[in-house]
Amino acid sequence: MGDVTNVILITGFLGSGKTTFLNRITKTFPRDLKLMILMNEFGEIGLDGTLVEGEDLDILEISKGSIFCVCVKTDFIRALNEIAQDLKPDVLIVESTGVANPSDLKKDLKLSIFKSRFLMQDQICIIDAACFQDAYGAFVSVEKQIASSTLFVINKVDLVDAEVIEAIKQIVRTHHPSPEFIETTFSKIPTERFIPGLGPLSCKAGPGPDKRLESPERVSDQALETAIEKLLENPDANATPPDRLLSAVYKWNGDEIDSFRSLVPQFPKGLLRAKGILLQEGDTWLFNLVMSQQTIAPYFPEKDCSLLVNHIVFIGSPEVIKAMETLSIEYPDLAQKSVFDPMKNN
Amino acid sequence: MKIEVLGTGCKSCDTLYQNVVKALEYTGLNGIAQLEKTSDIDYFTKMGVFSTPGLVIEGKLISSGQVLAPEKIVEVLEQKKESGT
Repeated sequence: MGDVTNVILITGFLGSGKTTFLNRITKTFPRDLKLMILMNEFGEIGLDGTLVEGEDLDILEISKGSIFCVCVKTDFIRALNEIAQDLKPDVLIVESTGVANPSDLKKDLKLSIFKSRFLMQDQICIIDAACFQDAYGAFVSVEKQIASSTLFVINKVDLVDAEVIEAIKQIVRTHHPSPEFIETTFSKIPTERFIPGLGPLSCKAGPGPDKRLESPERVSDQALETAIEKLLENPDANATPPDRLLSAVYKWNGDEIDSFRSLVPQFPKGLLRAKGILLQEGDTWLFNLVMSQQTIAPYFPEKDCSLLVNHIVFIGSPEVIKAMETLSIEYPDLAQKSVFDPMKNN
Repeated sequence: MKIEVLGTGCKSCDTLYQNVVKALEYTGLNGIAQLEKTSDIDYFTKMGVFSTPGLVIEGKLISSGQVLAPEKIVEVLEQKKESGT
């Protein structure tokens, strides 16, 4: 365990390939180093956390409260404090989509209570080459993600031609004079870049867990609360409203993948994202929808996902989520379980 | 004087509300000022509150994404009293 934690911020619009990217890193990460993932789930059930694979992987999920509220930020600071004081991973990946204004995170990592524990490394934006141009301009979060990132992974390049890729790069260049791009498919990127000792990340030897517990410099609860109070008195400006998106969870009560497949074209237009694990006669399938593209493919889970089987998360505008509700009335095999509004305290 | 605390019902919003109550007591405006909580997201957007809690006094946005201390709210209330608004 080192005395610094390298931090990688990862962002990207819905369905851009963040989970696949995380899985690539977790699968190649050395067992003698500690990796942690801090993620924000958009929705009531933690499907993405389940889909990130890896033995003994530490995943910390933060508040599902209103994205409008500063409480999301304070929960984030508390989570960082726990990571800095107790968990002390070598690498921390923060899935920053929807957590807060991504540009604020860099400042938060430098708070004095963290005692220079965090070393900011890459800020990665995963771009879905096929959907980016539709999403950019339509959703303010996409522009914020581009503006706050330094490394741009243009994913799914096999689905578009060279002109589209160049158009995406031009958009990114309007925010950054000389951005770094990686063009890829299935979120394949050189993962050694994110492993201390192999890439540019720091790998300093630390004091070890025993000394750490004896450290007299442990941040008191009072100091943490004071730091949070100070942050709340001096917030970062947030001049744009967040995108108005809802998520809904539906239970699929059918038992044949083909009948689900025939239902998919009935899903409302404008649906941004849908994801779910389906079960047919003991076999699991992963349903994945990103805007106009969808797949239903065999899925071999590494973790127990029995509680999530046949639950599908849908994300879209309030109108689209309402249209899903109407559809579910026509199709009894599709039963609404819950609707989550990230702007409210659910 | 109408004072509105805009929030989604979380701890920070409650703290701001309580801080306003303390400030009203200090300034002697409790019972005179009309204090309300609102959780209407459309109203947040209309008032330019993109991070809660928000504080609106007499229709004017005072703070957004901040939990103002009672002392700070007292300052604002005193200014309002002096200007007669």
